Amino acid sequence: MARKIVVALALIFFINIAQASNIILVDSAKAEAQSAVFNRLKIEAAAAQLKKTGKAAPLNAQYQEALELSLSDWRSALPDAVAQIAIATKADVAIEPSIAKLNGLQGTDRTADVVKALDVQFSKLKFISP
Amino acid sequence: MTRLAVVFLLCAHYSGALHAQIPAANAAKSQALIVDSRDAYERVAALKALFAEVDVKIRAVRGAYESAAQPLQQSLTALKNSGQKPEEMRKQKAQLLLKLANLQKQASVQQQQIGRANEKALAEFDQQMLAIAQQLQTERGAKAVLQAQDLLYYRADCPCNVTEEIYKRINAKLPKLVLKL
Repeated sequence: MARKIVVALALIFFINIAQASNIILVDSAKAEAQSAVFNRLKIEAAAAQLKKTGKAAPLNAQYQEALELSLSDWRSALPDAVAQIAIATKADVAIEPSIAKLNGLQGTDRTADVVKALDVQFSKLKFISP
Repeated sequence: MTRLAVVFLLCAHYSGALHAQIPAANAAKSQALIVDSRDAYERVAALKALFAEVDVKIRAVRGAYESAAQPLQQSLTALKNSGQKPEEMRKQKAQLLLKLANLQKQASVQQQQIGRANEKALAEFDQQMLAIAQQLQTERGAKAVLQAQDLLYYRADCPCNVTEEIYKRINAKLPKLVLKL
């Protein structure tokens, strides 16, 4: 019984330590690279260009611009998603890892959580062809 | 041994829980302090007064230029209908334009002097702000002072936000910024 209490208290103790870290890290560039929605839209853009031009090639300026436009909702919602994750994790501050490194700060990387929240929110986002 | 561990963990837990309820303790624990100085122009009396003074001086320079340039511009307009010989007109026009250019140059030099004096005063303000931020950083044992615009998010009521304290200290330490012309 006493051992169970020790284990339970140890868990609470370590949760407390984790909560004492009041900074979360969110890497915006990494978030885009990790996003399933981002990657899906890139594929859709490439497919749309291929269909139009008949040639498999990197996105031309027109399709790149259309892709950026299609992704703009996802990007615009990033600050809100960061705030949402910060509130959920009781963080005081959310910063880019580069800023944290520059200032010798440490925090838990929550980029994946932010990406997950955004990808759920924008799961039906589609590439809008130019 | 197990009892000792229970006591230790209980103490650790409750000290942590207590910490979470005391903002000052949380502030002392913060890794970073935050400064949101975007409204400093409104909140720091010395800055507000400095910008008002700069504005008055710039307006004065502009006003002086306009009142000196106006008669010259009127003379230029009058010259067109004066019926004088073309050569005499060209000569007078050149003289008037030279006077106008000199006036413009003079006003521009004066504006640049005001701009430089303003920059010096702002540099002094920045220096004082930095000193106060460093002082607070030491007092609170924080690793860094971050500007709000460099953050993705910060909790509005976070005790780590030291903006108000910085404004309070800067207003006390630097009641006036002198525009040295």
